[in-house]
Amino acid sequence: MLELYIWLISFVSLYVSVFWIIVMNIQDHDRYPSLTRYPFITIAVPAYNEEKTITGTLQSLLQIDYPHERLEILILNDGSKDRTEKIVHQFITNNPRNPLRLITKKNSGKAASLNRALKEARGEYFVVCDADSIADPTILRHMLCYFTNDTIGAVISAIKVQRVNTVMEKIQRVEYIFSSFVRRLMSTIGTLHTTHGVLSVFRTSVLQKVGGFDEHNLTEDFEVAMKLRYHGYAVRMCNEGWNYTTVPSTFRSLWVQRVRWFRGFISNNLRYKDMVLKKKYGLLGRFQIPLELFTLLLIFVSLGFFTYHFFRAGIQFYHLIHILKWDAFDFTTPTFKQIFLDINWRIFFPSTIALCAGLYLYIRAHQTLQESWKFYPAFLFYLFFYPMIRSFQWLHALYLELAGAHKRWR
Amino acid sequence: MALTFRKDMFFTTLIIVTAIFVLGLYIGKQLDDFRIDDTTRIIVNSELDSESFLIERDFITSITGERCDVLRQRLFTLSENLGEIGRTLAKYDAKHIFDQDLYLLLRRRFFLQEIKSYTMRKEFNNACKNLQDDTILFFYDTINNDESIQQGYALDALVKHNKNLSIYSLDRTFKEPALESVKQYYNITRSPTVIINYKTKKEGFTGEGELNALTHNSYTLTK
Repeated sequence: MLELYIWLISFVSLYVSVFWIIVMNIQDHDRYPSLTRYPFITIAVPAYNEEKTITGTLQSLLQIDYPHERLEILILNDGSKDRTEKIVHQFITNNPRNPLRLITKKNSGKAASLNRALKEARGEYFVVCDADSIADPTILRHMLCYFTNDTIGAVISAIKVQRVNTVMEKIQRVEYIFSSFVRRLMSTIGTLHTTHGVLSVFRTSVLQKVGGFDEHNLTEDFEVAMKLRYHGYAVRMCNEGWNYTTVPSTFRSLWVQRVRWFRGFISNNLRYKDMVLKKKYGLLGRFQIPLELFTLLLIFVSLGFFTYHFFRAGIQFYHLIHILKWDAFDFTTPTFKQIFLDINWRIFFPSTIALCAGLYLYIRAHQTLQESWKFYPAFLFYLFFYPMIRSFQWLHALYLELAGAHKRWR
Repeated sequence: MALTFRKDMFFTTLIIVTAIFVLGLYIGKQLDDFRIDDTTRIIVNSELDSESFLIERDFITSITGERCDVLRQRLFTLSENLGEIGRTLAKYDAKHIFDQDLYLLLRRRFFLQEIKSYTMRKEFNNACKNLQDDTILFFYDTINNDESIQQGYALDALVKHNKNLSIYSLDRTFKEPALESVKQYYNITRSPTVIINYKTKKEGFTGEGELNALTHNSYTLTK
């Protein structure tokens, strides 16, 4: 049974890896047209207790290579309890000629802040930029070029991790590189369905038409993208440049963030379940979402399967030690022939190829995002242990969703 | 911008992945054949060793009449080799590596060889009572076998300290007429069961200490 299950996992992993490798080789290499005009743009920066990062974010936004008279930057202080408001106020005072405006409101969540900004927005395009992000100066010019027709509702950018010190940050660095890379591939085949908060550009009219951001959603960025896709709008990813974000630096903060994300994934997929397997939604409905849901199913089944086998092996090991004591460690070194014959090649061979394909994608992801691709210990952790942690995060998220736990963004 | 995605990519991917899996199956099959050949060779060798032992025994008996010391080591070696074959077969079985039909044939040959060796050992012990060698016959299960596995550990611990002990292992559920006779003789109804020195039967898990106390060559247990 375990053998068959590993076979199934290997098959799915290998299929997805090979598929992405093929997509990578047919990626859309067409040059997008250059910007011929400068549409007016509203940049919304929702902020809640961001005293440590908001200055950096605002400085990066002011350095954006775009005519400042064609920009408005709305900073939405969402009832911060720290010095965020004071810092922003000071920043605006120090930069009087710049298009910055502070809006202070009672704490009501990120989505409510964005909706407030959307109401006041004068721009043709609406940019969402988290208050812990650092924008690339050229990114806006590149991203606007991707709005080549009216069906494109949003364009997102690649994300890199700004500060990489702790183990958790190192793991997330790998994760962000990989996810940005896969998003590019998804964009290529038209299945992208996320608009992250680090820096995403929306067509304002479209955003208003679909009703803006859901204020009762744990992942309003994911929800709004699903909503755009549901209403027939495409989401693209900009292949040039990237923005930086600050990621959780401790295990606990990462856990909290991921459980929130995963809860958002579950609830939003349930909300937009009508898209599954519908021809109308193309590859998104018939390939991407089913694949993600199947992967989720595999995660839960794997968790049960491997936990059972882990404990069973643990009990056997306990008996071995209890009965044989030190003799249990009296190993004889196996010969090469023994090792070779002991391997079940029916499983080992495709699993190894799947692993190699994954490593190849890992290297290409780093190359694409111009990052060095050494096999850091963090990568090994990411590859072998992080999936287990993620499985438990998924389990926690599922439990909270089933228990109907309160949806609280902060 | 027109996307260059083509729907036949799914099919192309399926062909590539299927080809990789088929190649994996082919390699697996080739290695199974090799494993079967290798294990067959070892079993045939063991069968020849048994034949050789019987010929040597008859020769020595007819010439000198003194056979115990000369043949004793041969029997221990035979028992150790059989133990090694048993472990190899169990290892492959756990991984479901073999072609089941051929694997069952190999197991059958192995169990017959175990019974034959056990019988030879009994004859030897009857003839050479002064040597006081120990013999254990161990019946185990391969399904829901936690207790059998623990019993295996206990026997491993025992044989490590008792150099005059030979252990013969038999799968209680294996269908083989000779094995059925042995089971009937000892009235084996559950696993694990051990028969110590042909007479003492212990059902269920029996620890190293208890087994040790029932042997001729008991040793002082380390805490």
